[in-house]
Amino acid sequence: MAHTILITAHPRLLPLNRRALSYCESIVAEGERINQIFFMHDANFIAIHPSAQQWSAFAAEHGISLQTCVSTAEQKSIHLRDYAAGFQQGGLSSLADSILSSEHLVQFNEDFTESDMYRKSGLTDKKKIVFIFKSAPKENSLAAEGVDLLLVLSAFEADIGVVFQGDGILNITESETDRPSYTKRFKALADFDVEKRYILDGKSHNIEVECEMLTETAFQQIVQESHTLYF
Amino acid sequence: MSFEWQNQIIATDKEGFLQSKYLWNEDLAVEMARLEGIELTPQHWTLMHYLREYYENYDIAPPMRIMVKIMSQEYGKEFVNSRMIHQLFPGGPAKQGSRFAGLPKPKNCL
Repeated sequence: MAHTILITAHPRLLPLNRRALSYCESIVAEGERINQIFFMHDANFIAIHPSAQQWSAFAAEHGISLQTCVSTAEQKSIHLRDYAAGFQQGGLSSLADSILSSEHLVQFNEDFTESDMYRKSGLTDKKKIVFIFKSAPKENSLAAEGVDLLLVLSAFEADIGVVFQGDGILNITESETDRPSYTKRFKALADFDVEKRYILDGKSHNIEVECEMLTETAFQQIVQESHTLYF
Repeated sequence: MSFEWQNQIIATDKEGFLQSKYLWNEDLAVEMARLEGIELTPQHWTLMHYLREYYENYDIAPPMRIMVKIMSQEYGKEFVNSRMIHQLFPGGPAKQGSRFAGLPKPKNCL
């Protein structure tokens, strides 16, 4: 079985950072393969954080690639020359490729919970992925990278769904004030053949992207059947 | 990076995308294409204008399927396919087309 690990939380969340590493160690200890560990958004700072040394040692010992996104690094002014050993700069297409060739996908995000992880790690339908946008639009946010990954995966003809939940619905709601420009990309989802578009628990008027309303039960069903990524 | 054109220094990033969208005009596009050995035809312009319009609306470059659709409406289904669009912009329709159209590099972090 192959795994892709996506880390999206800032290294200041040290216990989470450690938990992610110990999870990776346990995978290898069980004799399974890690295709890629990807440090997205604020997790890019792990590459230049003191805790990077432990990741470097782990990656070197097992020949695993530690990937970051080159444009995130640019945007956050993180320089490749400051990276700890083993960390590389690539792109979201290499992450998409890794995801699609893995049976397991786990995300370590800011509100990661153990129970969530055990459910996900038992999931082996590698093709179904649901992107859940739950945060209000904000410039340079994780969601901006999320929508890019979503569009890249759609080009790989992956089975993708997208759920706008709570404040995340503001990403696709008409607004009198200017929204960050990445939110315009949601309007292109249909052009990119992302047909499964849903809204959960929120206001549903003035929505600019055609979506189906989900009941809580239907949502739970989708979450049970899919790898979930939160943005 | 930069190049000189009509007594101006045109600043670009390392892949040749304009540093400022306000520098762009159609004459500059002709020059940028010429520097890459391409003579812009009406077909090029149709696609480049569409790339600009799509970017304005969606902050991204359209997928190939949509480019084929738009070009087919203009030039007829029998003349347009993805191969023809690739031949217009051998450096990639989204990438090279966006560059000549004065748009930033398509931000898909590819």
